[in-house]
Amino acid sequence: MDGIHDMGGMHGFGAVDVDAVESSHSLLGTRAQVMAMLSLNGVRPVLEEQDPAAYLQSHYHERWLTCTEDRLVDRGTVTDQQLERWREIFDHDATAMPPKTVAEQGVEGLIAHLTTTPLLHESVGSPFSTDDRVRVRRMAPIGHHRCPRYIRGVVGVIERALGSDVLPGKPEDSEREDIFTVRFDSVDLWGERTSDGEPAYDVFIDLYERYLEPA
Amino acid sequence: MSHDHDDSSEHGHSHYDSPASRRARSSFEVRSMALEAALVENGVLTTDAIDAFVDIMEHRFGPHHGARVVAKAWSDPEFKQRLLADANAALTDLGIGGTEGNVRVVENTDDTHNMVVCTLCSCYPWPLLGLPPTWYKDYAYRSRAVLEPRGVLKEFGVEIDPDVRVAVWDSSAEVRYFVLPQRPSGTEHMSEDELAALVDRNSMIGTGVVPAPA
Repeated sequence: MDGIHDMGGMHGFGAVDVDAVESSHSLLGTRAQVMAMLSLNGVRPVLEEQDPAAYLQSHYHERWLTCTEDRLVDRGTVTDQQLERWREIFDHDATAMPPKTVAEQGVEGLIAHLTTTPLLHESVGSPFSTDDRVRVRRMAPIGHHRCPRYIRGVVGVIERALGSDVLPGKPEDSEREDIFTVRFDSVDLWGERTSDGEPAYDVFIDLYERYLEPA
Repeated sequence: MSHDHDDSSEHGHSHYDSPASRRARSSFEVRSMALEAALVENGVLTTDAIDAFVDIMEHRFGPHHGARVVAKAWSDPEFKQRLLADANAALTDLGIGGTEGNVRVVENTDDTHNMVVCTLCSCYPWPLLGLPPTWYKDYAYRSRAVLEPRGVLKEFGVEIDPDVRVAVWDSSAEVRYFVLPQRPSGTEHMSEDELAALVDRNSMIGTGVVPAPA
């Protein structure tokens, strides 16, 4: 979906706060992130479906937490009543803690997943190859995608063929497709710039074959 | 699948037991603890799995790995060549890897300055750099890095010579980008450990450069 998360090229967010610190207790924020990773099958599609106004008003870990709560309640994994009961307890009793359990089978399998580098597969064959000029398709994609708006319709050059993978958000046994690193000239993206002190530069972005057409 | 576990020292709720958590809990803390309690209560997750993941993401992954890789690349031309050609193989040899760790290394030179962003999310090479800094996840950086990279770099105190081409890497798919910064002058006699101590996180994202030692 083309949601608020697709921020490349937007104006209005001001200067980068280079010294910003996490507004949540950072370890607890990581804990919320971990719960999302362990209990949802893919977090980004869920994050992107969040109401755009809520997305902008939440801090990073809050977005993860809200989306995880919503999705797990929708699935019936946990209930609103259950969450409310525990919130009452933690709100009123500063010594109360979540129950503690250990996995009977151990957690080595989960840890191995976290500590293994996911590599791409070999090419499955593609009409495109390195140095080809390609145009990013104009489209209004439904569901999770990896093609930001700011490059659509723009011509770039394939810099590297990366191999293939299943498009994220699709079932793991879906057909793989090739992925390419495409280089765009800033003049093609944003036009000639004379007033803001930005000489031309390159933007490199990795694109699945379905987003490209010959140029 | 799981059973109650009373040993508070082995899997202590270290993240909750700090003095900070004795003050009034924020709404975020209350909600996060409630979600954990519900997931554990229902047997969906176990505390030891959550603890192990948090520990790896907060401690095993981190910029100390990235700095070690940079120092080795500066010191060992053969390693540098392999790192640029096939980073994943070179990093596996060093025991560095994990989720969000399918890496391509891009080298800063006299002609090119690389910087990394994720406009759609906040993708980042976790095993090499740990979890991203707050600014990397914020809207200002995500929106502007591809639109006015030099303007953004100035906010980090980095001025790039007009003759140097800036290359912005928007990590939209599964590869994560890592910048090999330029080695500063005056470091010719330094050991890898001494070099690694000079390399900070931002220089490996491309929003910093490694300064010459004072």
